[in-house]
Amino acid sequence: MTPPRALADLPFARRPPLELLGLTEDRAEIDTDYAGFGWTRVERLWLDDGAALTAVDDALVLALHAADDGAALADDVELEFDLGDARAIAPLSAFLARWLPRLPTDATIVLALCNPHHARLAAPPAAGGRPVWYGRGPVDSWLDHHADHDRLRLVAPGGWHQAHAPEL
Amino acid sequence: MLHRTSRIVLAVALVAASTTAACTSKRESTDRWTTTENTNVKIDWDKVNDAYKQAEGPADLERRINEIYEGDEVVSIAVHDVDAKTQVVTGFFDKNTDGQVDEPEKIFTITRVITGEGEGQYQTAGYGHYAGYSSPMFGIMSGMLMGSMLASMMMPTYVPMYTQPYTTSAARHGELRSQRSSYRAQYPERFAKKSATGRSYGGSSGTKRTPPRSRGGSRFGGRASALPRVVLAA
Repeated sequence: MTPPRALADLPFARRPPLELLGLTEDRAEIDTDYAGFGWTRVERLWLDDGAALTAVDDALVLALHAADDGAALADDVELEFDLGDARAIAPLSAFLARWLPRLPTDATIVLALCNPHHARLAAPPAAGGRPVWYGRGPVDSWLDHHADHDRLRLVAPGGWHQAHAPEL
Repeated sequence: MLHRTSRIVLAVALVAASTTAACTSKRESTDRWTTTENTNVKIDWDKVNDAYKQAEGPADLERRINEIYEGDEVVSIAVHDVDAKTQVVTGFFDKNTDGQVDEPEKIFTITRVITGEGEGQYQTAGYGHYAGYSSPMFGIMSGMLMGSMLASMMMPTYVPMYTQPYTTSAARHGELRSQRSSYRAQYPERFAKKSATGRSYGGSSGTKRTPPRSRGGSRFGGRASALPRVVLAA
């Protein structure tokens, strides 16, 4: 298969939440080799910074991966897409500009994405004023089995932040 | 939260069963708890309904249901796509281990119907000595947190997989017992200290809070890779 040459050609598809976030197997540890990407919609998920939990409702979740050897950018993250026989690289800002207009307009956008260089992100214009949550440092997914419900949780020990308004 | 415990004791259940032919009026209940005839074991229907919502597939549902069920028997599962929109899941005690759902063995059915694009609903009904239970109709729609078993019907490419029903094989009972034993060992306060009548002492599973068990997921970083890099154009 010919690898995509442009962001618009990426197979960035909707997937079930648990599948997208690598939560279909019952294990007690994080899979650091997971390379799946795509988007999904969830009624509620929890953002965990190790000290506090923040509930986010009606979220559009984008599962992405930061490039392991990506450049240390102050205001952007270099993304990597595992395409099987190649890996595609693109800046997060360019990706969001291209893909957000194609996705549902849920109330809140959450980036399931590692941010190894603790970049401080500006809200993309394509978000249309919706809050965009992102983590700093590694970001992991967890599923908590409570007595009467399951809770989807994204953990970012470096903290969760809302993308700030673009500076004029 | 529903914590009210409603017990239907053995004697009442037997009387009800013996008079079913003469008196078909069925008192429907949405109580969270009901009990069995043979073992007086409770079933937490809230958990059963949630298990179906979260299940990744029949095998995962089998595991979840048997973790919920607090008795000694293994609960078998049958999954049947009756038509393009309707799926019926049956829980049953496969007493004769023939891998088939015999009417007297039925414990419950969960009927899921696709009602529109990205929408559906499901409802649980008890059978036999659980016959008093009927759940509310649960709506499901894309965006809800659910397992692949339900989420797959939201996909444009959805095709019913169980036109030939899936049924728990007798050979799998041992595996399910083993999984359940491990699960119960993790929660000794929930499964220990049963009296001869099956009543729990020292707190019931419905009221005692236990710390959540968490499933590890994935990290959203990159992997060291020697694959060629393609820089995507905007």
